[in-house]
Amino acid sequence: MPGYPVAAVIPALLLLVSGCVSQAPNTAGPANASHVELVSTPFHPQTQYHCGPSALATVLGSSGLEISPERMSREVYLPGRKGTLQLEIIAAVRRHGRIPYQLDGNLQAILGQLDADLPVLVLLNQGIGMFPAWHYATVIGYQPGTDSVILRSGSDFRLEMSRRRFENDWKKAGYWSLVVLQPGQFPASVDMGRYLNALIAMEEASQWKAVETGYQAVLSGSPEDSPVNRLARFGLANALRADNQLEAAVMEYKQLLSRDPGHLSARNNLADTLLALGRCNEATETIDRIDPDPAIEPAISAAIHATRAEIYATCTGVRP
Amino acid sequence: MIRFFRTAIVLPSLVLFTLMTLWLPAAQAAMLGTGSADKQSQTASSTGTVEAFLSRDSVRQQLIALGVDPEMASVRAASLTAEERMELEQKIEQLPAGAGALEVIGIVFLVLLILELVGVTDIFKKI
Repeated sequence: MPGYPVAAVIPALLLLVSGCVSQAPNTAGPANASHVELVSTPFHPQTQYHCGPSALATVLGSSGLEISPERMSREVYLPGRKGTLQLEIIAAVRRHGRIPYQLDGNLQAILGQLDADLPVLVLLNQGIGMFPAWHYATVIGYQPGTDSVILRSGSDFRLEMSRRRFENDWKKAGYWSLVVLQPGQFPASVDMGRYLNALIAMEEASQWKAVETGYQAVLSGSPEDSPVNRLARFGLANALRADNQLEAAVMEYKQLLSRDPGHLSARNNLADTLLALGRCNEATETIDRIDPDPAIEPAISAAIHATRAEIYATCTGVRP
Repeated sequence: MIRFFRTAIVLPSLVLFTLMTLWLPAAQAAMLGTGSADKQSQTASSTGTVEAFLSRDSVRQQLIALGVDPEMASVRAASLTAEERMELEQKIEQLPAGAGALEVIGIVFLVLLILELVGVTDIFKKI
């Protein structure tokens, strides 16, 4: 009897059992939620510590990109941490030309996406207190009869988890969740500001085609002249400029400036684009319409200064 | 022996873990927003180029130090926004790292083992 690793087993057992009985959020089940299950969601069973790459391959696959978990591991797994960080999941989605859109922290938000055929990547914390156990899984359905959430999780093709347990583990992970959108696709009940921020962040990964499509979608989905619409037009113009579609970029900048003549960044970028097209006169005229104003934000002021200097230097003979 | 085991280890442990479940608050992971908020300041991108380069390199080095292939580390560092890079630079060791589900089989086995050790069951004859 003596000599068995009792000391090692007891804490492990306590950890596990506690996870089952700790207080779940005392909320009622989602009202009027109907049964939903995205049965065609792909499944990639995880290998040890690799739930991140597996779950990511699942949601990317669902958005039409077939990528093996092995390849995703190279892209997001962090050997020194024996796991995958949320930030790197988000960045990887961008690299593959998909829009990572984070949801509000309530089950209703997840159910809304499921109704729109979007599986939801979630982070769960199955540990307790000082012993967190982080786990990525994909929510693919909800079953009102048993009040349970259906997941692709770990090595489980179809895991039913009681809603209370799910909400408890999800809460301990800060209610983190994500849908993966094709360019131009909106999530259910979109927050346009959040969507725009997701697009802006994609510029970092130089995903210009995806970003262009995204801004176009916002343009057609928001009232003309609203702040969101203007921001989207500016973003579209910048993406076109970066994608070397200079003529198209000029048109978008001009359209924005016709509605918002005081948009200094747009005017600066327009002048820069005209210069790239070799249209010296127009470039000079555009940049000279900006009055030196001490109230301009320093960064913008510096950019205008640089553009003006470059135009003058390149277009010798046009102006001293 | 079993009685000693029960009174000296199991009972205090049960009391302890019951208390723990009552005390411990749920852990909250650090949250972040996606992307930068202000488009205006992005136009003057050339001014921030040096800083951006340095922070990308710093994150790249950290990724390599944590076992990422150097070539892949560059790609990974490059697709983060400035805010995300800053967050990673400062907290790469603390941010939640999702690893995997607690295995149900493991739980069942542990419960059986404990029951066996405590003497409630007698499944494993050799123990």
